[in-house]
Amino acid sequence: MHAPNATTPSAALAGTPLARAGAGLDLCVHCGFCLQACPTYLALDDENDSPRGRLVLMRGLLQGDLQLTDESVTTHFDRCLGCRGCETACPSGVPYGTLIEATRATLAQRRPLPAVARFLLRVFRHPRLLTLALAVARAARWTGVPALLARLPRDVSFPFAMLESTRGRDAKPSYAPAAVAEGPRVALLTGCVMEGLCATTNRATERVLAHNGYQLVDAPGQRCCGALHAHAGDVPAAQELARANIAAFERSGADFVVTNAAGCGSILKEYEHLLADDPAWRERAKGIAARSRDVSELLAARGPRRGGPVHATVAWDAPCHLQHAQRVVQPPLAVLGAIPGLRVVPLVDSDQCCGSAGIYNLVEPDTSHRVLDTKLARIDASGADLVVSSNPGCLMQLGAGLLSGGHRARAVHLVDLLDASYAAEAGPHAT
Amino acid sequence: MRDSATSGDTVMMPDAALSPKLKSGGGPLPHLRPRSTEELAELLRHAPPTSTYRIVGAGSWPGIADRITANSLIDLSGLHGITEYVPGDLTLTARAGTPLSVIAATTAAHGQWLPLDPWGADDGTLGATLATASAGPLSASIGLPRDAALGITVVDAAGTIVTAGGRVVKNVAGFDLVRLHVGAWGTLGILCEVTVRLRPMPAADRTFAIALPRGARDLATLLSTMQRSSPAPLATELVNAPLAAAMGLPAVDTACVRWGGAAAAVMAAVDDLARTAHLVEIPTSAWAMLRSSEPHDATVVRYSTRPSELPVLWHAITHAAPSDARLHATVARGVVRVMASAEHQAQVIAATAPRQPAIIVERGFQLRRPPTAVDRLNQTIRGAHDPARRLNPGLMDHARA
Amino acid sequence: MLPVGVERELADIVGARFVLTRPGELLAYTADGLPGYRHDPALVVLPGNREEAIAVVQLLARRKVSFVPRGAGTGLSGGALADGTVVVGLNRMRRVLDIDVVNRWAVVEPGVVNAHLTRAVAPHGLHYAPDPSSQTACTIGGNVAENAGGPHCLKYGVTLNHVLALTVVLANGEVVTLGSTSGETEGYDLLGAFIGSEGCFGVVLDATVRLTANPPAVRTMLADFPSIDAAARATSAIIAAGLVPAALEMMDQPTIVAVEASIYAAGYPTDAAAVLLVELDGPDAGIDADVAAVERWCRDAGARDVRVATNELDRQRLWQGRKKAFGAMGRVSSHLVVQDAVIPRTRLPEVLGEIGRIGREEAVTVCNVFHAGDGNLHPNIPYNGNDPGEAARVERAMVRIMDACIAAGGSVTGEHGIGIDKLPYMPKLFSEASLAAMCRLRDCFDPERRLNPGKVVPVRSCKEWTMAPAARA
Repeated sequence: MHAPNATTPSAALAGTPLARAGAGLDLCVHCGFCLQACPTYLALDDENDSPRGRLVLMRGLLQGDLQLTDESVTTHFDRCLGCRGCETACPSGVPYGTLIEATRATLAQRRPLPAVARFLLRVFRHPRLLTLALAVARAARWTGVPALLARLPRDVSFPFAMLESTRGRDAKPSYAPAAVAEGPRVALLTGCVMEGLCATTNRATERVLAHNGYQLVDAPGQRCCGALHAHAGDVPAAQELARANIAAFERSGADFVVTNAAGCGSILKEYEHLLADDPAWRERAKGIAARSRDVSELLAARGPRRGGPVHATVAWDAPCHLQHAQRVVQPPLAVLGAIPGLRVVPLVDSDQCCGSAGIYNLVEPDTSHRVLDTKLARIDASGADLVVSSNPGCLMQLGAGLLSGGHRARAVHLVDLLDASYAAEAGPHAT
Repeated sequence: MRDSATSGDTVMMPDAALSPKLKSGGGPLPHLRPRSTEELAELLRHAPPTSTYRIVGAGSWPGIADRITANSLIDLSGLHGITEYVPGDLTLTARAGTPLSVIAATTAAHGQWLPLDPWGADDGTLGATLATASAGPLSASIGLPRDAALGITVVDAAGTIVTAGGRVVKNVAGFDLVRLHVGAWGTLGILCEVTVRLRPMPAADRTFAIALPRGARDLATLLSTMQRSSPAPLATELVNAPLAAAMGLPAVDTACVRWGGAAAAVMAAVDDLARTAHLVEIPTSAWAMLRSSEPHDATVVRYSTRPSELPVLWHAITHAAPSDARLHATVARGVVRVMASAEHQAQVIAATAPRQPAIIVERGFQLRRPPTAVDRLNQTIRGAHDPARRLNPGLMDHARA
Repeated sequence: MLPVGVERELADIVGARFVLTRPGELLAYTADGLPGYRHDPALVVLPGNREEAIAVVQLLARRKVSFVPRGAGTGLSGGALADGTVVVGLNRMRRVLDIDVVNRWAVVEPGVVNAHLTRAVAPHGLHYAPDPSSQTACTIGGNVAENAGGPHCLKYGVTLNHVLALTVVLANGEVVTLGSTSGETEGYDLLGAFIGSEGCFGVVLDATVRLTANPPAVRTMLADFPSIDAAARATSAIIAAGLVPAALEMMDQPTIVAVEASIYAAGYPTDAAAVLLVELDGPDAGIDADVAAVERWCRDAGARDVRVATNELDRQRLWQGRKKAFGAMGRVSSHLVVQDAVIPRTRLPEVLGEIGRIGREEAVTVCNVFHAGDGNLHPNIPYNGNDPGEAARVERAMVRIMDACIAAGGSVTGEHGIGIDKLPYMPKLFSEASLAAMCRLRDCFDPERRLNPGKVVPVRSCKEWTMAPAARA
């Protein structure tokens, strides 16, 4: 008859991030509406792998009924994609994303992250290592070897298929963006993976923004956004990266910080929360967060300008960090609506995660692949030639899955599609 | 697809062979006529252990008495009258012996009705309608008798008064004894008082006759067009030529279609169907004629199949049945009801065997078949409620080994 | 304690991954949608298909182990809790086995989510009519166990009216089919008895359910009232006038405010004392006249404003707010009691007045969100459970509210079931003899009382029926 007892942290966890976030647990009324919104529950069929189940486990930890060292408990936190699909299903507003990150941060204080995760997070934290790693990846992609390896069984081939899926299209016909002098000034968060492996999409982003009346400004000194670190529980690293980016974007003088990577956009908007305990940075973080936009938001604010026809059947697959974390739902559809000739077909459960989830697909490959398989089946059923998304992780996950599974559809970034439309309008001779 | 098909082990048994006539010398049974639930309970509590009872409402249901091997009779006509009727709630509580015609007259004054139309006629009682769960043409759209029952008071074989359900339209308090007793033929306890859900009477209530086309395919087309009309018909019943004649209609195979609702909506549905079929409006009283057109000496068998298979089954049955047999079919439920002699029923059963309809014998004879797990469960329930088989002995017991 | 070896034998049937025994992993299964009660199960087993489910039930029968079937755990009466016994979770059995578009029925496994069934048949212009507010999460198996309702049950009927047949495995491991697509069966209405038996009579393996054609025309209206009494009078007027809306829902101000603060904000007027959400559906012809009539009755009762949803998006928004209202109350306070009672519809103004009075006297906030057209109340009270004084007042208010509903000729549950939460009210509704009759029926299905023990009927009512019926016959 009554909701659970309000959570009173046990002494063992006092002062941990989970204890600080624990009040959020009291909002849960246990209604279970989140279950069907959770890809890992659907893939694994155990309520411990659902948001409601994980909230119960968090409460168990806080109240001292469960121990952080109990692997049968922590494994369910590890398996969370962090997609936050549950948040947009939750009537009582449980801040699940905050809670899972706090849980992971608390866990990280007690036990090391998996070796793969530690390695990757370290690379993303150090600009030189990252530049080197991405250069190696590009070189490998250029050799064509990953394309061959991608045909091997999925257990071994998946990372290669992901890399192969980032191969940009061959030189596109370009167009001259309408020049503007007084549009809003925007600085692009170039992103690590985006600039390293999908630079063509970054250039397309600059073109479509300019074509819609925005002035691009540089923001030198920007680094990785820190999202991967925050999600994995490495809060100090995320904070360090956030400070560097805040400083860089302040210096740029931009009206908006724009990103074409939903995961990055999500953490930009949460910088204030990330640095809430840092009085020197809190206000500055708030300022940058308030000025951060997904590229689709800026485009939709301007219409966007209609382009030339692109004849394709497409399905929109919403990145979790766009739909659930940023709650940006309509703008990408407005962008698709600006492209004549497109047949947009519905994709069942388009708001559910594809299983990419940052580095999740590398540290929890089994669950990731189960989640991906459901997504691929939905894509096949939709009849789409192109599945459109707007986050590098999702595009690589979907791209690799489609590639290695022999599916008909291909994955494409929303901005690349709009760019193609503008190019089509300009005609084959435009440069 | 869920209809249990009759198996090759099915054997027809005449009723007489299974249940010999009473040993009481054929004279009238001791006749008990309680005036209240409490009196009935008292009576059963103090009855001699050898007493067994046939339970009667208005006594208007033909044929079934032969199957009951009781040595006394409980007549429920003394339990009559509406005990509570709040028109604003659309619920009504009445004693079991209240005739449906009384309820109809009372509720009609408030623009409401109890849409139960059992085979027989409106002089039958509310208690009998629910105890037999006799489902007429309206059942296909409005629901079975079990769907109308909200609450009951019963007296069990030991004379204990049990209530279940209530007087509200939605209720899930406790195990559903209401559903258990509806259709139980009084074998688990005697229904004494019942609360039912009423409905607003439709503003327009019109019935039309359509002569049936000859081929099964044309019939299928007509039926699917009718079922898809908006609003859906309140009732769609096929009647064969002899039955149509008995109802005062031209002696041809006919579909009777009834629509109810806002006048404009009914008109739209009629106009729509009139584009593909020839409709003749007939009086609503045709339905009462249909329900009371049952020859008292006939055996009655119901065949059911998926509604989409009904046209084929209907054709198979009309060809196998003698020319004077009366047949009708409730389209949306896929049920064909056949009134004929026992010998002719055997022909129909044999002729329809390849179509594997589910077969239920209402009266005249019984079908013996090997007991199933469900039969055993039924017997467990019967035994738990009336171990000595004192209430309507012979009924709900046919699968007993 | 489970008999030795049961865990291993279950793992042999379903695979070790689907047998949970560690305390941490059992924690998620200690509560259902009503988390005020927590019972620790001994083990959770999750069969993946029909054969596994039958084998699991047969094994538990052989080893004489009690168990509780569980769907999505969204129930609101504590019905799916297992106190030291086994939970058999059916969420993995979620295939739609057959859709018969012509005859309008579907055969589904018990773990199919209610809303997913409607999604599966939507391309054919059909839907599954019972729509409990938890329909995006709850399962058909759970709906059958609880005889679930929902807003549209006002016109279309509850689960009982939409299930044509069930294949179930009984406590003894025997598999039986109850009911038939034509409604024609010999013997007792075992299908009707099974629906709403709260997991005490058997485990559903598949359900054949009726599908309903989508109505050609739908109009959704929001009427806004300056007092609860006015809204209650409008409800009584609509029902008494003989119009059957598809749904007729009421929400009072505290509920409206909670919904409007949530992500499901529907644009309800937060300054209204109550709103009615009225949906009319049917043929195009005549529907606008009905809309006008409803609007007139609402205004006659004192409505400040009546508006009709202008498009499908608007309509869905109005409904989402209603359906997520219970969850939205989580943000009001740390604790919440959820209730479910039914009263005759003519008594709405009077009983709602009484509920308001009880709330004021006990100084608690009652949030009313309910199926007004059916007289099915959901008085919910958010409160701070860490304040013992407030908790005691809430407890007292709840008992007084339920007593008021019983006194008005009502019932203590319209759709949530008895479970364990409402056991104390059963003797207020039914005599000892009637409760014993319920136990008698249960014993026919499960003579050893191993299925969902301790639920629905207070245990002491069953004492006199200690011997198995088969032995007594």
